[in-house]
Amino acid sequence: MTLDDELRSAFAQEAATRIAPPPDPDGLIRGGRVRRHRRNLERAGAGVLAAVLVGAGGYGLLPLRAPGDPGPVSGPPGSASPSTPADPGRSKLAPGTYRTLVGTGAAGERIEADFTVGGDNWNGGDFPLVGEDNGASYAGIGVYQPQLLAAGSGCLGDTMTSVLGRGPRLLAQQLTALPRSTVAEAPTRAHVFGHDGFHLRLEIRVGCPTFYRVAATPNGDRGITYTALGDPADDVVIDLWVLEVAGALVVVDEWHNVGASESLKDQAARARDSIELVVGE
Amino acid sequence: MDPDLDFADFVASRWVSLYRLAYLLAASPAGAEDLLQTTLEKAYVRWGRISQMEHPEAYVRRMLVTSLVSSRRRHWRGERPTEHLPEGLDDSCEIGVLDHSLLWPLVCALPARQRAVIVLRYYEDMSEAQIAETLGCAPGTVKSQTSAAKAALRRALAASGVGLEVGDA
Repeated sequence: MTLDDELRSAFAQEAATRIAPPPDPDGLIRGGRVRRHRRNLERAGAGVLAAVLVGAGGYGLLPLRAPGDPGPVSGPPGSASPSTPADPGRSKLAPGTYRTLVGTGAAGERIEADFTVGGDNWNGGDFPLVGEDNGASYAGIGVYQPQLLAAGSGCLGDTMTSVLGRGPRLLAQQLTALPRSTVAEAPTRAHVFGHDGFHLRLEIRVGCPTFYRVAATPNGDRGITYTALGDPADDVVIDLWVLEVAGALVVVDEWHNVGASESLKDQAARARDSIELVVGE
Repeated sequence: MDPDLDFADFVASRWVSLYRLAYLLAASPAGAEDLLQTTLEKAYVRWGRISQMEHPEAYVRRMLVTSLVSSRRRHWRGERPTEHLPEGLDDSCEIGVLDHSLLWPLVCALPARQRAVIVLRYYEDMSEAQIAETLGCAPGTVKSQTSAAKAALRRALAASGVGLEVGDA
């Protein structure tokens, strides 16, 4: 027999001879209710953290057009400016196309990003977020210029590094060493969003006393924890694309909780696919 | 149907099967009970959605695995997927018929994540791609975990004197 056969046989035999204790459905239901109650209480306070997470920046989202509309509803593309009023923390994001400020190019040009969201469960902020109907899992996208990268534990309040890799390749390589991360896909060349760059995928244990902060950006902290303070959050899978746009490094990311449904991941992926980078004056 | 009754029915009908998987994953009776209790409590919270699935048990079985891996994740860091397997891991390699009481303790001694991969592969009959999806990692990681686990088992078997029968090249 091969080792494979031996393993199959050993597992089958070990499992078959193992006598299971009797189940206690009532106890499990009681435990489940406690767990649900605790989660609901924690979720009730989640808005506070969410505002910290995504509303810390001064730049909000500018709606450009809703599906079916002929054009922009708040001015032509390029009209977004740093003076755009901030989205106050989390607010419902209606289906449509939005513009957000990313940062500035090497010559001072404004870099913005347009993206389109669909469905009823998107929330606004500098970094849009979508949740399951039952609030069990979340996903989100972000486009930003990292000014500082997570160091130490990666948690809010811990150290960050201002020494960033020069160029997409080096920055992508640096991202593989984010705290509490495991590389699921090493950096590889990619041509996305109209630019050459590098893609990588990480798994990150985001359980922090507050939240896990990938980077500090001109728009505020890029957090990837959506939960109440102190709530042990689900781990995250995050895809990162590192690009050079107008002579500046730009990171596009898309994250989702481990265990998120395919539907949720699809929504985030569609929003990410819709991203268009706009370089203005 | 009342959701609680539906959940209780599910637990009653799938308990033994789920317990056996939990036991293989946790490698101890107490660990299996803890893992299964935690997982089913989580499943209860999401039962409205899980019960609508085509295969609720399959989903709960995946929850068992992710619960285990999440709880041990701090012990599993820094591994990198690889496309190149170490030499000497030919799956077709013949070994002598083993006493299962020897092999199982060796499996128990594997790191939790390696054991999970092996259990999913050889007890749940999952493909590498399915295991990767369940664990939320790259197929290359599954491949390297499987190889590492089997290499460790072969070394342990050899150290136990079974190596002569294993006849590794």
